[in-house]
Amino acid sequence: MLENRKKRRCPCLRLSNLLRNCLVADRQKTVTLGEELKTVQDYLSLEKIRYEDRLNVRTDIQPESLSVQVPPMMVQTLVENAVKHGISKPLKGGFISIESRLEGNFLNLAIRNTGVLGHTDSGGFGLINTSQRLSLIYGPTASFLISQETEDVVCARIKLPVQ
Amino acid sequence: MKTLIIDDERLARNELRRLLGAFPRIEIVGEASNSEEALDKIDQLGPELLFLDIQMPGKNGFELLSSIEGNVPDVIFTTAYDEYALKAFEFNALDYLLKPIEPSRLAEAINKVEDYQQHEVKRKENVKLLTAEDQVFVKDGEKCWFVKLGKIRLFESMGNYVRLHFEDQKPLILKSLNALDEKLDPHAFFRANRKHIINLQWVEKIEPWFSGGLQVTLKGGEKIEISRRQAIRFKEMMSL
Repeated sequence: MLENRKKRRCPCLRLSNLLRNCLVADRQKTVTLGEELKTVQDYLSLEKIRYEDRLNVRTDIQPESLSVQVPPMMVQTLVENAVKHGISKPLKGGFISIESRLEGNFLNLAIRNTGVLGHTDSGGFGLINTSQRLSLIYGPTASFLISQETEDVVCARIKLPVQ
Repeated sequence: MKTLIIDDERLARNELRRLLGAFPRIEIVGEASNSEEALDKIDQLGPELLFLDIQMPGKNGFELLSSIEGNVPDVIFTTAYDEYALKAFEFNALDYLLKPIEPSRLAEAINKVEDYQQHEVKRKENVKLLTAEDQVFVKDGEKCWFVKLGKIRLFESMGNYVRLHFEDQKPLILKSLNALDEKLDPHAFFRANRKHIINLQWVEKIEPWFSGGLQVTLKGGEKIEISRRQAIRFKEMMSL
């Protein structure tokens, strides 16, 4: 990885930031969406080094939503999922998009990726875990849904109350 | 040693190329970023050694190896996961390198390949090719034959066994088609596809077939397809 000295320092910092956030996530019940998205950005910029043109990221974040409290590593888990299924498998790669909206007393998050749902059985528990976490913290007021939005786009949606 | 690097990540290929720079005997003839590209380059460039990633979009490294027709080059797997090591044994991997690759470990792997290839050269020199004139002993269950190879029309792979077709007999022998392929005189016996070797003396008719392949009808009635890749080889070998 001797491509470029300057390029090289930066990923180390991002990686250490990512790892630190993973450790801290244990101790905090919630973080602001802004902090969570910083972790996600660090992660995505590391994956971008790896996948290059195969990884395309779009974000559409409503600024007012950044201060909302969310469970740590929740968006991150979904984005990792999106990279695993949407980017690493197809020959030409694909895209990931992250969208956040404040609507009334609710935060709506949508994470999309190219791919077909239920195509693989990875045996993981990321999605089950996400939905259980939400119901433990917020009860029935929060929801989590993953669906085939169009022919080749999978969308994971989270709705949670602003506290 | 002609070497092909197969990995979907450009930076991983670059890094391996840089590390291999320390080994003058390794001549990198090409790179491929997925299995389809790799199959074409294996055909075109005839590498003796592959550095092969396992997790790739499309066909993975194992699927790539199973779809190579004809000679499979020696393989060193390179992967970030140790969970495939057992499976790699099934594919006769010479070595298994975990990424990021350590230079000293890479040196060991290359030594291993060189030792192995030297042995192979000696072994192949000692193996006399069998021609149509040679007679072979065949036993299947209680029955035995001492049959001239020229009489065998077709060798058909059946898992770990090969079925021989001659006269109205079809005995099974415990041998892989690849092992047989190495022993048979290539001017008399041709590898038509992954499952069949045909005796060229027994060819009655050849017709063009789907997607650039050929279909051969043997005297004896068997119809065998020559795959696209092997059809190219067949034309090269047999044309004026």
